[in-house]
Amino acid sequence: MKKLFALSVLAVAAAAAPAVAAPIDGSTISVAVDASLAKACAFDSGNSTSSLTLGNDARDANGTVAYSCNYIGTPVVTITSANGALAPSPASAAWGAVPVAYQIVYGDRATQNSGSTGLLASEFVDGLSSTTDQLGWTSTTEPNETVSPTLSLYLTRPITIAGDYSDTLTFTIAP
Amino acid sequence: MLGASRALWHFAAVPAVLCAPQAQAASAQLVLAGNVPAHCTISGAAGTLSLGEASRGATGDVGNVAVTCNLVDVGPSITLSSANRGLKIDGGEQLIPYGLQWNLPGTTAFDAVTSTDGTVTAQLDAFAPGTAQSAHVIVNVSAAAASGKMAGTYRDVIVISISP
Repeated sequence: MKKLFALSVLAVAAAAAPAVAAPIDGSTISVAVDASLAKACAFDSGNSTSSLTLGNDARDANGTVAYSCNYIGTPVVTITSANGALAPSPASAAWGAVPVAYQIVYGDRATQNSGSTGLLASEFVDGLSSTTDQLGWTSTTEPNETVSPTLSLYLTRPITIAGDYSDTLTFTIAP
Repeated sequence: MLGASRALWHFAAVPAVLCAPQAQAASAQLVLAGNVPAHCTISGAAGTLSLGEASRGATGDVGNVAVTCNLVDVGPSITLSSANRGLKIDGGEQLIPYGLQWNLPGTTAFDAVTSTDGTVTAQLDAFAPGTAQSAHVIVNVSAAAASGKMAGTYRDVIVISISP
């Protein structure tokens, strides 16, 4: 089961199997009933950062992207960068603005980025999963409790051309 | 009684014909008495019902379960007992409550099985003796009931019993 941050939750409902008939005739009937719940995680938008602002005066920006799972374990979080950088708006680009690189760190052990531990946003264009990164981003220690890993961004160099720059990070979590 | 008295009279006056008076009786009465105890039976499909993945809710049909009684003016008493007071996770204590519907007259008490309602009893409405009252037993887990529960397999055993 894979879920997207800020998107509706998906789940799978398997068709119920028919009862196994075992006719009896007397004063009691006994039926064994079972059901299952698959492992699942969901982002907690109410406890997550929806936007961060980077600038020359504050090249670090920190927030949280929170989630909870119904099991104890290590969900896989994938982050995808839409632009692979802070991309200038068309108007700013017309004035000569160019994409600006920045770094991303996310996870339970993430702290202030400051350029020492992050990966460039360009590495996230096709999506980068926690399983493929040495940082070991996420884990849950209690089922159905919200975990709030830190998301830390860092502007790798000052922006020299005035304008509007933006990127969109999409988070998915599985299962 | 007249015949019986006459036989005794003959027995006293003519002892030589000791066996004759019984054979000559004009009538006799034989009183037969018996008791048919109140009794009901419950029958139908029992076994295992797998509801499958329940995170979005799940419903299953146990099958048709019938009740037959020899009662005249009162319905039988039905008791539903949940072994775990809900669907209980393997290896843990977490419970998922569920609903159980068996739409015989008087079974509205079986709407839900929760941690506080491990056993519920209902008195069915009276129905004609010798006839079967039947309905499918439906078990339902709502999405709300499954929300916030741990991943895993949940189980329960339902025993439906009838009295008398």
